[in-house]
Amino acid sequence: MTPTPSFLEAYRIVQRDVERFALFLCRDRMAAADVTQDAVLAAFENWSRIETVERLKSYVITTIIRCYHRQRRNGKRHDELVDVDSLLSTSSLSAEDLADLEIIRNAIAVLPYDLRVSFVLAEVEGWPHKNIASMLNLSLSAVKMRVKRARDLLRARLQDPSPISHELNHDR
Amino acid sequence: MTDERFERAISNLHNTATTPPLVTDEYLASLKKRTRRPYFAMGVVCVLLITVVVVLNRQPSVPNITPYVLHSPSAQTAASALQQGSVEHEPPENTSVSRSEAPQRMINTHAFLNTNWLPTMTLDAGHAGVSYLQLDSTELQRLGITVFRDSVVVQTVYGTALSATSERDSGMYVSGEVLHAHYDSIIMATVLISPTFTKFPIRRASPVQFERYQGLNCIAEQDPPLAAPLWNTVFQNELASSDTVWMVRHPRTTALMLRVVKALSWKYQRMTSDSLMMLVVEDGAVRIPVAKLLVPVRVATPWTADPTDEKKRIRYDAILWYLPSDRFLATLPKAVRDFVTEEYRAIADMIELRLTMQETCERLAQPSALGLCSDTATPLSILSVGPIPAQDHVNLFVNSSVSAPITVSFIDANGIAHVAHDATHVEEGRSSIEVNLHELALPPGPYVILIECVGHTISSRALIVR
Repeated sequence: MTPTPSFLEAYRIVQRDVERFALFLCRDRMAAADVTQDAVLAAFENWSRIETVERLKSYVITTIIRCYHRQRRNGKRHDELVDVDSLLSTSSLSAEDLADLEIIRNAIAVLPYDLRVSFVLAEVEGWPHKNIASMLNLSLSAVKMRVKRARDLLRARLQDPSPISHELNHDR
Repeated sequence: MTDERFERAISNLHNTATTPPLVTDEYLASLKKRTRRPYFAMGVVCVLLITVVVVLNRQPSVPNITPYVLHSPSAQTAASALQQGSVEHEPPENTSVSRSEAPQRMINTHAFLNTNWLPTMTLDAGHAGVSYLQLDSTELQRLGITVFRDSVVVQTVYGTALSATSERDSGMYVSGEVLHAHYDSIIMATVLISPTFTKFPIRRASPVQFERYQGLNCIAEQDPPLAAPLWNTVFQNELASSDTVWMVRHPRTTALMLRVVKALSWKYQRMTSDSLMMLVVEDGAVRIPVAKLLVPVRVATPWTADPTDEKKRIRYDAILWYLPSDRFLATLPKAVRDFVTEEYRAIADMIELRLTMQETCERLAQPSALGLCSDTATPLSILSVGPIPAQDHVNLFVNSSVSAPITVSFIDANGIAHVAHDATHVEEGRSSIEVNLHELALPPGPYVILIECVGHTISSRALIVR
């Protein structure tokens, strides 16, 4: 039987993914840090029920989304901020790949909220569409449609790599 | 960018990380401490709560609602005054007090107060100095109050009769005696059922909290274990109720009123409703008497024999307190409505706009019907009145900042003003004004003294002429 890892061990495994998601979600480092810390604290307090790494990741991401919505309701979030510059590659890439990475990172950041969340969870985090639908309380087809629309928008944006405007930056 | 590069870029995104991390090692290391803090804090809070409960049990005071500083040095304390019942016993026939003076007892209760705070209403030249609204039986019925010979039935905020919550009795009052629904105006209500004149506690008679129940906004009673089955006033839409219209228009005033009711309901479950006149609620720098925040309406039964002692005659006499909502004001007779509406609008403005008392007074037609502006920045103050009871004359000891003409009036229990013509001027500083009562030919009874000076009206405690 696999022993249950300690919370810190488990969080180290998922830390990169959940923080990347939080940054894409909030698009502001301070706001992302806030919601992530809240989510980590909640997960720590419920670790006895979570137990596994996979469930921890799911729990933290769900809590991050919830905290983000709560901040939006309370008017604490600043939609005009788009700051994903601290999202850097951990592996050695060519100069061309690094440039592409920066372009696509910034393009994702200005996607509308609905498309951004679905796309990041599906394409960046690799979550099954079914799980995303359940988490976001959407139908499976809606999730697939959002991911597809996000890809189309990104492709269109990347065909024309002019400075990114904020025309898409309208959250729900 | 080609599709291949696009897919590769997305794939490379998976290998990115926030640099530096959003959750630092220090934060992770402090997690244990953070989770322990609430338990420690809960312990501290429990100790503090126990301390507060012990202290509160020793001193019957309500947070943010402070008892009056009593004006008369010989007066009883506020705490003992709070214990007074409003069911009064008529004095025996063989005492020196005649039967016609019996109502003075209730007036006496108010006479112990700092009368600067009493709501002195000025209806017109013939009616002044009334501390409450006195309505006839038809007008009371429009408010949902039915006065019988030996009982009073008051509709509550719930649209049904108030729960009978005395120690001996429980259950709902007979609904057949309820006249009509009266939903949103009554803040406090008292039901009295003959023949023993037992006063029912005022708890569960106030809309002290709002809850969501099955997706609807509900007014809930304050007792959480009993609240759910007793919810019976439901708002489909927060703005749809006639009650909430007033609340939306005057949110801070409503919150203040509900805070008063809540505190009183919790702390003084057996306090007589007319004792509310002695309480002041603090809102910022402004101290507002409850009597000027809620509308006092007097309800009294005729004198009747005491079933426990045939020689005694008793009556029920109480002040019911209303939220001055649009619906309540519309129910009042026009003559009464006209003068109280402006007053309560000014009070609400004062609270909503955080006006000073002076700014409020500037908005009012002078003199204030409720005496709102008679207690600050007045050139004249009444230090004391004596002797009490007065016979041939009465001395008014006053302190004036100006030398000015004055008008002294004596207001009887019916609100009729008797103007004293021999007191027409006051000197600067402390002085005594003597009024000859023989010239006024006042009948025996309780009186409130009003002094008008430089546009201000100052009221004094009650005077009893024998």
